[in-house]
Formats: sequence, structure tokens, C-alpha cells
Amino acid sequence: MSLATRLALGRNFIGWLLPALVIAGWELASRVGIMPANVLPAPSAVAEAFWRLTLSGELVRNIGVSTARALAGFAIGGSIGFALGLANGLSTLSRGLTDTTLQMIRNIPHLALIPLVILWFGIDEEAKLFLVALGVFFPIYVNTLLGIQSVDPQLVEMGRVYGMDRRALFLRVILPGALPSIFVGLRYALGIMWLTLIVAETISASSGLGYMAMQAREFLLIDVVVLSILIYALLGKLADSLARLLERLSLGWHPAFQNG
Amino acid sequence: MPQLVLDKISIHYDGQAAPAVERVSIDVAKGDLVVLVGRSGCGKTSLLNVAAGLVTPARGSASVNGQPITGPGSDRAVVFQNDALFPWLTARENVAFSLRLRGVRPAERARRADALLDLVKLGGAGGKHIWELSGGMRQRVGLARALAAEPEFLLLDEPLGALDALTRERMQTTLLDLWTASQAGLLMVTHGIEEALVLATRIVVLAPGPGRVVRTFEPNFSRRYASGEAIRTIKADPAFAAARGDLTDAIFEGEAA
Repeated sequence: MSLATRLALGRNFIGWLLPALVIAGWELASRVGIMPANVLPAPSAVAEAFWRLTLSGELVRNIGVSTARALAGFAIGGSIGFALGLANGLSTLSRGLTDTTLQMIRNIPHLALIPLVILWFGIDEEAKLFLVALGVFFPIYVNTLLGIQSVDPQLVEMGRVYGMDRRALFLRVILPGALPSIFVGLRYALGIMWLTLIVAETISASSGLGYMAMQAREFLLIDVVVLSILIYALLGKLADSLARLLERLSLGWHPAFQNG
Repeated sequence: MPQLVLDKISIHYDGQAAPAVERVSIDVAKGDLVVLVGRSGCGKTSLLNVAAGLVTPARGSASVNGQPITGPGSDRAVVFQNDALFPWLTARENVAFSLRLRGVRPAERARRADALLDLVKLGGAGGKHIWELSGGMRQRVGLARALAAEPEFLLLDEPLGALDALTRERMQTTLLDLWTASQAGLLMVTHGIEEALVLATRIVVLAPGPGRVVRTFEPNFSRRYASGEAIRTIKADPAFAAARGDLTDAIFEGEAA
């Protein structure tokens, strides 16, 4: 193993050091009785709950349901946001027409729409999809628009000097130039995606992780509640890591992605 | 003889009362190195942009080899002050960019790009990302990219303006070498008085308000360099100092001291 790979592994590992220490300290506090089990169960109890729910299939099913909802909502909201961001970045007419409206809607906290959404869709799938799509839409839209607007005008001029048509100019100059900003939006949107979904599932659902946590609260299964929270953290981290991997693959030219 | 001709050009920008440039004529033949100098606001860059096809003049005509200029074309290449390289491409890919647009095969593209990088003394740097290169190296890549299209005319907008003094001096000879090697016609804008004298076969001095030609010089220093004289000997020549004085006077003529 070369020194560089060992260093890279070390850097990856170092990020997990703190969570591991926290868990160890927490286990210790529970064992010696500083932390009462009805406030926070020991990590071992949470692990036991994890095992129990995995065996019954409940955990896998709920994670699957939640992930499917998250991704579907993300795909809908993300693609609309991306398309509108492109349209408004490239056409002043489109921007003039829609931007004011979008900025007004953006300032409504989308979770405040939950009562309305329940009235519209009940607790069906559409309610969750709608909320996730709405939550994801804005970071993607705003950052795509910003990315296009901040492409160096001299690069666009250079493209024109080379006689590129609008299509080539878009694909070869504007899109690559806007990509770093689009990725910022993507990562931010992934965070919003989980947040929205969990809140929506907690309030109105009959399956999914949020529902599992709420059910556990009803039956005072605090280990399952804590387990759900830990799973949110892991899923969030997983989504972010995927986004960063994508980012690194497509932004290899960018000085910010040379190390670490 | 291929010629780039700007004939009695007037440029008027929207929303401005006075014209930016009034009735300026410049012609560049193949093998010429015409340098535009003048104080800020004299319309140097605007004239260059007319030649590039990026600005349409209000009056007057611009043509290349008798064909009116209606937009950018592959017979002219442009180098801007800040390199305007595509940061997502490597140095080689930047140089090969125009070839790629013209559908040249990848292997041929790489071969020609590497030859051009050698010419600007950047051989071996083809695989580097733009952010890894210094300002001088970037501008060399920019020159190589402009030459890749094999233009008849090269339009340079303060190509050395953003470089430090030492790099700048070295780049002047690089530019002269490229000019001699390519035998293209060069039209260049600069703020540097000495730079204008070293490079130009003709210097057009412009004055602002509105932009117009006040004088023209025809120095022979770049020809002397091209025929083998060292740049230091040329600059040490008393004739160089005299020409420098004359040019400075012409540029600041009519300006309140």
C-alpha cells in the first residue's frame, strides 16, 4: 500500500473516530447507570433492537419504503428545479415571467404546508411525494440558476469566437461552467429530502421510517426510536457520500477536488 | 494579399450620447503586426471586437479578404487579456478545442496540440489542468489555442496585460517568434509603450472622446528582431529611446498636464 493510499484511508477513518468515541462513552454511561435506560437506552440495547427488527423484516421494509419515497420525490422536484433553473438561466423572458413567483413560494416554509397537503391528499403517497419534491425543488433551482449566471462571460464570448451554435455553447461551455454550483444544490437538496420525508412520515403515514419511530413512541419502545434516529443519520451520510463521489468524478478538473 | 480592413469605422454603444469611436480606418496585411495604443476610453478594444465580429459598427465597413465581417470566423482568432481558457479541460484539450469543433480526429488533434505547445515552449505540460499553470503559461496556452485554428489574422486584446513584468518581457519575444513562424497578420491592443515598440510593424495611436487616430508610427524593431538581432541590443539602441519619447508624446498629446 502506497503512502498516499494509506493517508487517504487514514483521512476517511478519522471522520469516524468521534462518532465511535461518543458511542463508547454512551455505552459506558449506561452501564454504570449515569444514563437511565428510559431516557437513553444503551447502544447495545439499540443494536439489539436493530437485530430484532432486521429479523422480523420490518426494518428493511420501512427503509425500502422511505428510500423509494425519497428518491421519487427527489426525481420529481429535482428535475423540475433543474429544468426551470436552466430555462431561467438561459432566457431572460422565462426568468422575468417566473422568478418573482418562485421567489415568493420559496419563502414559504414547505413544511408549513403539511396541514394543507393532508387535506388535499390525505395520508397517501402523493402527500409525501409532493412535500419532498417541493423541498428539493428550491435548492436545485436556485443553484442551477446561480451556476449558469456565474459562468465567466469571457468563456461564453470565447465560445462565440469559435462560432459555436447555441447547443454547443450550452453543452461545452455553460453546463460545465455551472456544474460546481449545481452540485452544491444537489448536496443541499439531499439533506432537505430526508428531513422533509421524515417529518412528513412522522405526521402522516402508515409505513416508512418516520412511521416506525412514531409507532415505537406509542409503545414506549425507546430503543426503536433511537435506532430510527441513528438510521436517519446514516442514510443522510450515505446520500451525501454518493453526491460527493459523483462530484469528484465529474469535477476532477476543479482545484477543490484534487485532495481529500 | 490577404487583408483585414476596418474602413471609417464608427462605434456607438446603446445608451451613450457620444460615439465611442469615430471614423477610424486600420488595415492589417498578412505578416503585419499592427498595435493599437492610446489612453483609456479611446476605443482600442472596441475596434478589436469589430475585427473579431463581436461588435457591429454603427457606420463604416469591416472586411477580411474582401468579405464583410458579420460575425466571428475561423479566419480570425482572438486572445483575451485574461486567458479565457476552459478550466474543465487540460492544456492540450484547450489547444485542441477548435480542432475538435471542426471534427479533427482525436489522435491528429493531440499531435497538433502537442506541436503547438512545443512551439510556445510548453511541451510536456499538455496533460496539466489549467489551475496548475502560472499566468504566463496560461497565456501561452491561449496563444497556442488561437494558433490551432490556423487563422490568417490573430486579434490580441492586451494579451500580456495581466502578467508580471519579467514574464511579460519573455512573452514579447515568444509572441514575435510565433508571429514570424505563422506569418499571420496580428492586430494587438496594449497599454505598454515599450511593448508596442518592440512588437509592432505599425503603431496606431488613438485618442479618446470620441476614439480617433491621432498618429501612426512604423518602427522597425520587430523586423530587426526577426532578422536575428538580440532584443537587448535593440532596446539599448538610442533610436529605441528616441522612438519611445516620440510615442509617449503622441499618446499624451492634447491631455492637460
